[in-house]
Amino acid sequence: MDYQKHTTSNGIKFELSGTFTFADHQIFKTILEHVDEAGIHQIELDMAAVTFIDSAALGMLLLLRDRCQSTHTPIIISRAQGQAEKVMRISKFDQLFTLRS
Amino acid sequence: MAARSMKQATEFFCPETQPLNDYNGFDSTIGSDNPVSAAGFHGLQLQEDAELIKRDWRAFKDSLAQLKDQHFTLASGIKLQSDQLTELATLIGAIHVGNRTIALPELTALFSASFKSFTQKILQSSKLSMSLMYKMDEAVKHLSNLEPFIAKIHAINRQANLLSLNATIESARFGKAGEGFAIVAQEVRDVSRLINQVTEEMRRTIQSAQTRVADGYAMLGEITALDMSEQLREKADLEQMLQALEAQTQKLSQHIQQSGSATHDIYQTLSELDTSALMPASIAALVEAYSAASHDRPTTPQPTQE
Repeated sequence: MDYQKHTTSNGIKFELSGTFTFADHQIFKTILEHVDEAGIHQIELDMAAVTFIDSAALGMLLLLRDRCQSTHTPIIISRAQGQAEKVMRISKFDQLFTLRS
Repeated sequence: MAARSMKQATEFFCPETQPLNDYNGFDSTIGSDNPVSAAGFHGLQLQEDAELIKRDWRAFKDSLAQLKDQHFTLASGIKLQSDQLTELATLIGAIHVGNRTIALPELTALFSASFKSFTQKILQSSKLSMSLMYKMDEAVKHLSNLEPFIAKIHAINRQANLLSLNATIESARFGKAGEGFAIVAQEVRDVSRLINQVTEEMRRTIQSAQTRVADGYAMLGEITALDMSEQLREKADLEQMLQALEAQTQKLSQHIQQSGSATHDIYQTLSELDTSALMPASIAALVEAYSAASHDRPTTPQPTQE
């Protein structure tokens, strides 16, 4: 998986691309570390270019959620599609995150 | 009604002008030279007809009783079929496991709940595994931080070794007076060698721990990295199958219910059918009345008294 970081007026936006799996835990760790940055009001994960996610990726997203809950930072997962969207739908991620199409 | 029928029957079979017991002497007159009176012959014919009617009436009543029995058997069979169809319509919409009865819509809900629970467990397991992995990552980081310390110990040790070597050289210059100092310098070298061995052992241990943690990463990866696409497909397939089964069973149940209802209607119709009414009431009354009326009269013609 690759990602691009953008600073927005509300916080940080990460554009993820490729397959998001266990192998990306180090990359995701840097995303987790950004949560602790001061002045972040919101994190958006743009998953339009993510073609596949596995359960480890879901676990990482849940860790991000835990981290954000401690700092009261909202997370938005946007434009997920295909397999990624289906997996998150059956995992009831809509009850845990703000999902935007 | 019965009285009138009795009267009608009596009048029909036993007219007042020619009562049945008056039509006697036919047997005695037949074959004789005496001419048979028209009235006598007519009376005899009537009696024969009456006997025929009585015999047929009995046969008819027997047939009617037999028909009634068969009708009852048929109605009972249809009632049983109707009850079985009703029970079948109830049974087909549910699955019976031990003491539990699970309706098919409930089964679909159970499956969905079970799958949801399964998914939640996978997610929880993935989250914990990833959390563990990041903690292991931290542990490896701390272990890696030990390496510079080991390098420092090595450097200090090398310096101590050099110092002891210098001390040995210096002690040699003092001859016998420096022998004690040379022993101390040797002891320092021995201690330095021991420190070297211990630090080397520490380095190997840290490397071993790092290797094991790396193995742990791979194992965690195998546990955590579950491709859920298959589960997605299976869930969708199973849901589709359950929905199709539910729809099919509902349709089948409806058909069975309709069939049961139709069978029940047949049973009702059969139950309401009065077989004894097959013979028109007026005829039945006439025959019964005649039968009763003729019962008191002799059926064999009496010889004419001279």
